[in-house]
Amino acid sequence: MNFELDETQEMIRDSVRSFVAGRVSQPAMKWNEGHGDAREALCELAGLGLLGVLVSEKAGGAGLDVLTLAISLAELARGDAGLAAMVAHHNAVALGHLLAAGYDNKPQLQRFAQGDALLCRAASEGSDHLDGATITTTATKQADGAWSLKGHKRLVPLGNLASHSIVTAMTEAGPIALLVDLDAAGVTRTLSDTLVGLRTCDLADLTFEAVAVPEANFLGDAAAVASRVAALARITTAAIALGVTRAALAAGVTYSLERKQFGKPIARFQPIQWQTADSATELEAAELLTWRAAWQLSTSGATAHSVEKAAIFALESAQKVADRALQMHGGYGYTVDFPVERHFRDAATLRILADGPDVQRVAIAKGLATGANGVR
Amino acid sequence: MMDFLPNADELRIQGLARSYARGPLAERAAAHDAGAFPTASVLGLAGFGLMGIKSPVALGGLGGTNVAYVLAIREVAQVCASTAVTMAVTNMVGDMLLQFGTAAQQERWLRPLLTGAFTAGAFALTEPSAGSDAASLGTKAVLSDDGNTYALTGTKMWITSGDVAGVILVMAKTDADAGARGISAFLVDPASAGFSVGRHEQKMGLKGSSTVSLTFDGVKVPVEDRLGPEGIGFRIAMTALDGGRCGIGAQALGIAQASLDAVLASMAARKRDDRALGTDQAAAFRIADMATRMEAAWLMVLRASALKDAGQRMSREAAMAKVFATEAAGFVTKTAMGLASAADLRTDSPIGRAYRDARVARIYEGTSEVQRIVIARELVRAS
Ligand SMILES: Cc1cc2nc3c(=O)[nH]c(=O)nc-3n(C[C@H](O)[C@H](O)[C@H](O)COP(=O)(O)OP(=O)(O)OC[C@H]3O[C@@H](n4cnc5c(N)ncnc54)[C@H](O)[C@@H]3O)c2cc1C
Repeated sequence: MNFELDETQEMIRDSVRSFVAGRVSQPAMKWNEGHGDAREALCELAGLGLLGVLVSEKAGGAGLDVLTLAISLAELARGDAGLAAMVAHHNAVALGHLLAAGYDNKPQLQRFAQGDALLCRAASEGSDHLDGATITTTATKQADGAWSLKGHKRLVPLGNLASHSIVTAMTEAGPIALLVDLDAAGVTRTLSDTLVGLRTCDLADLTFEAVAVPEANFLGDAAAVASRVAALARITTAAIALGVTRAALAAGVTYSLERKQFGKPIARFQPIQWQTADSATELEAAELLTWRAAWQLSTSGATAHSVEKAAIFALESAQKVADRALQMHGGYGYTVDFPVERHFRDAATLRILADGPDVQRVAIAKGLATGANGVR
Repeated sequence: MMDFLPNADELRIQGLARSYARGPLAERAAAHDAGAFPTASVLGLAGFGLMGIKSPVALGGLGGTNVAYVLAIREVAQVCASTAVTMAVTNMVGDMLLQFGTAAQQERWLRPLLTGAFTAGAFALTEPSAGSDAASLGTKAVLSDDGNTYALTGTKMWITSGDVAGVILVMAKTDADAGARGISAFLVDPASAGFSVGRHEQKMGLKGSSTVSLTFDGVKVPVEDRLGPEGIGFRIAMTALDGGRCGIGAQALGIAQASLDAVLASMAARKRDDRALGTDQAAAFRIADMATRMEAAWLMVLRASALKDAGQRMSREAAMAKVFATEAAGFVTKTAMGLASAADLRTDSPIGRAYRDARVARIYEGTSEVQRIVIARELVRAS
């Protein structure tokens, strides 16, 4: 048993870390206030090879595994969770779907993998769904073999910046996925409402009005790849949650060492120490769960719901740790001048990136009931 | 006889607050959350006497109880937390004038506070380096040789309504060597020379309420504007906070109620669509926990307020009510974010707003840690 990162993983982690220090931490404050966007940072991340992490080198990607992607995302999220959310979406959810579906248009795949174009995946619909369980978007086969796509998708990450979107739609034969050019006639993109957190993340509502999609862009049965895509969404969301947790913990520790009340640094008061200790312990547990699940996804793919366990724990830890860190900042924590205010909002918004913890709890319990988890 | 029912007068005052909150205030709440100071709303509340709920009717108040006060704050906070905090601080300043002020001081400062001639009152205790350790404040008040005026010098921070208040209750040291006993309270006219308003804090929530720093550069304050004798300023501040903490507990529970109501409404809508998420019990158990904690907290707030009405010491109960109610509100608003639909995660949805608004309640008027310190100290003192 070995808990160490390999050389490549360390190298990538360090390069993302220095990228965050130099190019993300400062502008993140502005991006989250709605001043400017992170487009340039995304281009620079493409240069670092971070937009095609899971795509094979032959196909123009970095050819790395899910664990390495998760490590990179956790680092990136320390600087800005919304930026990390876009990178996770492109790599794991959108390209992850494309790869799982066996997409083999090499030039197009290469454009996405090298970040020359961004790809998104539009699944969720309706105001009361986060998980895209019900699909009302429809695709109808035309006489010429092309598909006609009609429907509305909400809160699609990268929906404004991407050139293409994978779109899930219902047909008479069940749910399918199509690769849709977002500049095609009949596509309307609008900026989604501003959410409580993740404000750097580009989100769009997409409307498809009889959009013609060529037959070659048919990606097959959406249900067949659903569990792989869901696992990738969950694990990358867990990784982003880790980044938020780590950033919040660090912010709390730093602040509590600087701030003095009653003649000493507040870090010397026991309630602050307990909070810090609990936060550090939860971070460690969340990290181990997440790395292990990511490693399993990279190797066997059989996970005994370790992905769900990691995602639930990491998401909930992020909320707790951000909450404690904010508390340590006193009044300052309530102002936008300190990043901890953003961590607190981001932590509660992360669930839009994958289905929420309660849905995942049910999945774990069902797994236990069938014995698939190996407990019985 | 023990009963948990507010009396007729308390219900009447709650009714006034409710009808104003659910009427005119509700229409403006979104604008306040977008950053507009609630001038019109505050004036509207003053018109009903709600800026001085416990002050005498003759001065423009409602002559109500502490129970009436928390009922009213909760009603307003349920609709607009920014307006509720502005109202709470103004009421608190009024209460101190009522309790410690002379008849002349009440005429000069309290009446305009109640009628709305002053937009608000402000309470200036905290300083950049004196937050939880408020007694270490550094603002000085130096009495002139002729004994007629004080000169106030120092900087206050986080002062709610500090830029719009007609009167600012300022704690300052008249004796630098006497610790908390060297603090005195002053009624400061913001038109005084040497007074200036500094930066406006940009906050996660309570965006309609203004939070500013204040600088006093040799501000002259006539002796007759000192509230109470020299040296009791800290006691005045702590008395204010005992009542204030019940108010903040009520504010937090109002915010929590808005969040819970929004969750229930969206669950009802989902049920009608017959598209429930298949995790119904998860939601059911969570809302049961949310409501149960809110109920327990509310009883604590009511009890601390009732003790104060009975003239009893209630520092411990007020601190317990504040920490329990504000932590309940933290739990409720966070849980609501977990149950919310995608649309409800908008920053300006009722659930999004409540999540941002509720967070400060565990910080101001004494952090949760400070409440626990107070509770433990009171327990040890009593044993
Ligand atoms: C929106 C807003 C409005 C406000 N309005 C007003 C107002 O109108 N008038 C006014 O006077 N003030 C006001 N305040 C100030 C508020 O009361 C203070 O922020 C609060 O008392 C905490 O002080 P601080 O921010 O300096 O935090 P600090 O005192 O620096 O506390 C930082 C952290 O250390 C902890 N801590 C400190 N000491 C101890 C200890 N001994 N043991 C354990 N833990 C400890 C705290 O609990 C906190 O978690 C307002 C604040 C805000 C945010």
